[in-house]
Formats: sequence, C-alpha cells, structure tokens
Amino acid sequence: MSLVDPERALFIDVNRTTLRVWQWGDASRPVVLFLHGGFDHGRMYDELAPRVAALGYHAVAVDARGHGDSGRLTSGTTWMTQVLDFALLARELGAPVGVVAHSMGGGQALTLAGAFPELVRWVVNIDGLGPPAEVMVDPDDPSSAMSENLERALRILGRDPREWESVAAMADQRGKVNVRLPRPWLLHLAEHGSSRGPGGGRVWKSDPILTIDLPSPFGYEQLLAQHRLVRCPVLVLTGDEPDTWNEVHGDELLRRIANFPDARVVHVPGTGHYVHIEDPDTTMQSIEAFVREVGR
Amino acid sequence: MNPLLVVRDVGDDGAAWSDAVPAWSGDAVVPDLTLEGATGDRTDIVWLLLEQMDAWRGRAPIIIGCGEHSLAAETFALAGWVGGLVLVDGLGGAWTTPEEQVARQNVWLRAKFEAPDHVGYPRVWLEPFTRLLRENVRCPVLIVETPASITSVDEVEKRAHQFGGPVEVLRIESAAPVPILREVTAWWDSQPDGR
Repeated sequence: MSLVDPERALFIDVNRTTLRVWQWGDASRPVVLFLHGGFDHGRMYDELAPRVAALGYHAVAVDARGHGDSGRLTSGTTWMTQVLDFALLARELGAPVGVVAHSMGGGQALTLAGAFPELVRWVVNIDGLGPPAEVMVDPDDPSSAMSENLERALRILGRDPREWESVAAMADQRGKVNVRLPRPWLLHLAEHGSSRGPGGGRVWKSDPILTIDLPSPFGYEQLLAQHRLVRCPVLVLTGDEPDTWNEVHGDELLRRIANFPDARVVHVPGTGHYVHIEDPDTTMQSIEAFVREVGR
Repeated sequence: MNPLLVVRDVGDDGAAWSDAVPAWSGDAVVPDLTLEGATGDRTDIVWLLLEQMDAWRGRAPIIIGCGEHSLAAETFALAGWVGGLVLVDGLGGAWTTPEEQVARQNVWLRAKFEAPDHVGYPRVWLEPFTRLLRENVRCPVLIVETPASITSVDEVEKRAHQFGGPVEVLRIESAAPVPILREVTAWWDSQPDGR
C-alpha cells in the first residue's frame, strides 16, 4: 500500500450541487476521471490515481453526490443525476476524458459513455458491469416492499446519523462487510469517509438515503441496451475470488463483454471486488497496456 | 372528509390548484415542487411528500397525481398509504421497449446537460413495470382523462384494468382544477369509505 495525498483538492459547482474533486498531475494534461462505488469516495484512488497521473495524465477523483465531501442526495433518480454531474464535470475539466471507475461508478461510467460519446475517450471498468441478472428481479410483495422503503426513508430523514467512537471502530464495521480489504485500507477509507459528528464522535459521510429504493423501470434488458450504446473502448477488470458485492462471472461475464461494441476483459487473479486495491500493480499494467492499444 | 394531497404536473405553477383546494372540505395541501418553488436539501418529489403523508397516517388521504407526477402518487398508493388515488392524465404514453427507454433516458440526460434546470422526466413507459406497480394498488382509483392526455383512447380502458382496486374512468373537457376537484368530491362521496 503506497498512498499519495492529492496535490490539489477543489470544490466544483455543477447541476445544483457541489462536487469535491481530488487531483494529481499536470492540469494541462488529458484528464482521467476516477469514479468510486456506492458508499465509497474519491480517496479510494490515493494509490491508483497518482500512478495514472505519472503516465502523463491529469488524474481527477471525484466524490459523487451523496458521498464524501460532495453535496447530499436529493433524488430518487440518483443514478441519472450522478451521471449528469459527471458529464458536466467532464465538460468543466476538459473533455473528452478517460474514465477509471469501480463498481457502481463503473456502471455510471458506461451510462455516461453511452449518453455522451463526445465526452468519453475510453473506460476502465473495475468490476462494474452491473449485478447478476438473478438479483435484478421484482420483490415478491411490491406493496410491502414500498411501504418498508418509505418507513426507512422517514427514519433516515428524521434522525441524526449514528456516531462511532473512532475511525478504528468504523474500519471494524466496514471490515465485516468488505472482508477482503486489508486493514490499512479499511482505516484509510474510514478516515476519509467520515467526519466529526455533533456529539464528538465520527459519522459516515455517505448519505444513508442511498439505501432507499423507489420504483424504477430498469432491469437486465435495459442494462444490456445501455451497454450496447457504448462505442468507446472499454477495459473490464475483474477478480476471480468470491467477495461481497462481487458482480458477474463466467458465461454471464462473457455475454456482457460480447454485448459491447469494443470491450476486452482482464481477470486479475487473487482479487475480489476491489481489484485495484488488492492488486494495484496488475491493475496499472493492464491500464498501461490498454491506453497503449487505444491511444490516450 | 379525508385529507387531500395534490401532486401537480411538471411545469404547472400550482396556482390554479392552490386556488381550487379551499373548496375541499378537509385538509388539503398542494406542495411547491423541485425547481418550481421549493428548494432545499431534500427536494426529490417523494421525499417532499413523505412527511405530509406520514402526518396523515391513519386518515386515509386521497392523493391526486397529475401528468408526469402521477408516478409519485402511485408510489404512495402502491405502499398502501392512501385511501384513494386520482390520476389526472396520468396513465402515460405509448409503451417503450428497453432500447427505446435507454435512448429516451439519454435524450433526457442531454437535455439536462444543456439546461440543468430543465424540468420533467424521461419519456418512458414500460409495460411490465407499470403493470406490476398498478396490480398492487388496491385502493379505489379515479382516472380523469382530459383532451390534453397523452394516453390514447384505446389504451385508457386497458390501463384502467391494470389496477388491483376498484377503478372508475371519467372523461371531462377541462383540465382545470375546479371541475376536476368537483368530480373527485362526487367520486369519493360515492365510495363505501368516502365521507
């Protein structure tokens, strides 16, 4: 683990919110945008982004709306709102941009590339091709599920966030979910993913309203249709170890890769969902080979 | 009378509804909507309505959803939080395929990209999604169709049958709130749980 603090930290106003961006490298160089997954933040790229910057890029990691230091979520249409944030940010920073994106951010990078082909030069998608088809199903009892969602939203909107006694305690909690993440990384993600609460303890920065589902007409067929629109080169990095939030594997992975007009996949052995954290060297080698192949 | 919540249409300034609802013989609220008056930390339409609906728990509120905001009203009906659901020109346009849906979402994204304060939603109506939602709406439903509706005449009857609860379809010549509210009052009075 070799982390480098961002060289610059800025706030940029777009789309009626404020986004925190973390930057490494010469700002006059081509931009590579780094998008994180759900409940994470831009500082998860403190190892990868400076190494990409060293290739001659302006590396910019962003805290997505509802995460890190950026503005809170306002909408049940979170996905599309965040994609719009990224599109406006790319224009602000200097498009077209390369995008390196993990998990939820990986899916959003593909939505971005499909909707705004002029803004995206290429995408490195780290285990972010969407959930398995079998989990994208409707609830058995939609009425009860909706009522429970609204009850949960009320509780979230009406209460103070839980305070933790320390960053270490938050890292412990995170480690129970992301069982493969090394302890130093858990501490790093907890430190930058939390802030001082009103009671003196620590609170997670990620907006808990992110956990609420509202009815949305989006499923497996829409996911494939979205991927088919991505015309830019795509590199998919996946692990081969079972993990929490591990996405698609085997034949289903190959089906999804073949669905893109221009995609290739690299399996990084010995890694789970956080491929770039578990094996940054292979991740970097794969990115270097990819940008050599497709051009900056 | 049960309380009334009106979710007016996108782009409507709400003034006509605000002027009309004092005629309702019970509590009535017509909230300002995102980008059209109310702003703040939590401006999603559902969050905006949530606390009001919670305050009226046990009072079986009637919710009116107009045009593009009908889905918000249907969301609360799906959850079983309302006594009655009224959709004004709210059954939606022609069904879209998944490919059309993604294409229209991209059109919407690009429109918002050019004008972030652009209001409205992607022009998407997916039949399986809508059917699943509506067959789980079990309260009484009044469908009000005006000449401004984007739903074809043939489709109105088919979509009315999607709901799990008793449904009435009413065609009126004006989308003005005063005559609509008059019809809603008459409809609710005729319901077994009305008044």
